[in-house]
Amino acid sequence: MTIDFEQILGLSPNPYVLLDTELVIVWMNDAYLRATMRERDSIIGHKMFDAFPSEGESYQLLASSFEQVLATGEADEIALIRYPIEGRDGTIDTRYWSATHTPIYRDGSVEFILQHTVDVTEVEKLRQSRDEMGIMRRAQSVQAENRSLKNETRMLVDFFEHAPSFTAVLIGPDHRFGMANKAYCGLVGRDDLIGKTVAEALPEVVEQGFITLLDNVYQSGKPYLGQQEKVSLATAEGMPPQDYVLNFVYQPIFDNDDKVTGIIVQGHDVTEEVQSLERQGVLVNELNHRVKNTLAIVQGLATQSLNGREADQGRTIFNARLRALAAAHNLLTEAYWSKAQVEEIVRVTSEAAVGESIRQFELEGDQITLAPQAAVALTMVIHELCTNALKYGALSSCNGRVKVRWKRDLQTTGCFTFSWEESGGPAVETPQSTGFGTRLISRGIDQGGEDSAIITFDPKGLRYSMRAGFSQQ
Amino acid sequence: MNIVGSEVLLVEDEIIIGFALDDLVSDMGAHTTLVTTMENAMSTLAVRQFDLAVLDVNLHGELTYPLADLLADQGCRFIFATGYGSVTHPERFASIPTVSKPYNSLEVFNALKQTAKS
Repeated sequence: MTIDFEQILGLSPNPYVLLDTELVIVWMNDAYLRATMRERDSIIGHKMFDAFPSEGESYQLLASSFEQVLATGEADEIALIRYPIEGRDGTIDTRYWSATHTPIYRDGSVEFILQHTVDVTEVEKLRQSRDEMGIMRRAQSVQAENRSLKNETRMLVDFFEHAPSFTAVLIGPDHRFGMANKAYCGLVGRDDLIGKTVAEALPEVVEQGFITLLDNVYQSGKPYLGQQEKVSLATAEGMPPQDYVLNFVYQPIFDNDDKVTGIIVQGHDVTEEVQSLERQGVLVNELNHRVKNTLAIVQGLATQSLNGREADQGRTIFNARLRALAAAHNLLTEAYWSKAQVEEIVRVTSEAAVGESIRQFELEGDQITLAPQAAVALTMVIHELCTNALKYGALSSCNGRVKVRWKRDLQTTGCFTFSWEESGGPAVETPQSTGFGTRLISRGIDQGGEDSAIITFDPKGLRYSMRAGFSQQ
Repeated sequence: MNIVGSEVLLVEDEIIIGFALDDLVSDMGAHTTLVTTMENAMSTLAVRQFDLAVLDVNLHGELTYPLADLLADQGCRFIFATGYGSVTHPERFASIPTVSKPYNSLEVFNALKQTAKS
């Protein structure tokens, strides 16, 4: 059997009027027409406030009630509203109403507002005669208070729902979810929590001891503060559980007799903070390692520079090597100690070592990136080649030339070749003894093998070639 | 075992530190061989045996413990060198003397002497 609600409402002795979301009157029953003393045709299709002009407090009250219904999708009531009605003879009759505004949904959104009004003028007049205007004022103040309480509650619920910290309210000794905000649902990766116990909703936390903690709080009435506690949560079905680090509090809720009735869970996800602290620890340790290593290199340079030389001469050599090392560090610092370009290493190191004589250089090569350790090593090699050239080689004469080339090795992936060719200088002789410079140069920069670097003391000019790996990141 | 006249393998990836170490151990009267990569160390050990060794723990980001195991198998005594402030070696190397960079001649000498005696 189909029930014809329009017919039922139409015959109801209670006045009903239906408005669309623009507050246009789309339907009303006969009782409404009788109560408002209007004809159907004179008001249907008209906006509520055009059909029944209103101003001041009554208008405010009514308009805000409609707004409330449209904003929240929930019914709203006006306990008492003064609304003057123009009678058929043109006289204004002051009437008092009580009204309920109910949203009517279609396809999930509010399509109409059903206003159900009860004319309480007679009751109100009786009251007035008893208590002049006092009762009206009291009713209004109660109404205002109700409205502000309602707003406050809504604000709190809104705040709770959208708070950045995760929050849930657990009720009863078995910790049943009464409320859980967005952040909480996001953290645990599910939103079907309400009504379930923690053990049912989050079975993976039982073994991790969290139910025991909740039991303790419930029994003792003492809050529990969790600092950087690890919890493993199965955030998505079929995915491995994810580890989180949380700061949180279990705060007991008491009733009027000081009995615990539930627990508020509130806290923050500090996983990223903790991870970043750990990363920082690793970085500090790495930096320490790097500094110690650099100190050891400096120590090695000092020993190699100062041994068996006059103090002044040794100091000059040592200082120049230290500057080369510092230049390499500068280049690396620009790229956060991750890499340096061969071209820059060659140019910066050579310039620092030979000054004006850089004009006698010819530099050419591919774009090649070196890891920090290789970059420092190449710097030191170039520095030694430069100082040797200044002292004995092509740079000791203003006609001398130095050709520096670096190319990707087409035979071996990840390797490059580096060559240094001097010409136009004095006749080159093979040195009698092997100093630090020659020793360093002849090791190459990272292979350490016998054949990775070759020095040729050609009388026409020193030639050096080397093969090494580069950074492929 | 005596350091003087012994064959010492030096494993250090920073060549300048390696040279300094080389000079320092040579000055103690030992015969030294310096290698700067894991690969070269392994290939050297495949053809030669050493009495003593100094191992940089971190070689181009790679830990040298497998090398230490190989040395131990060959009966070669060794010490570790490290740039890390405090380093926790695996259990089996807990008693191996360790020098911290930048180290000096005396520290290396004492560590070598200690490991040579054990």
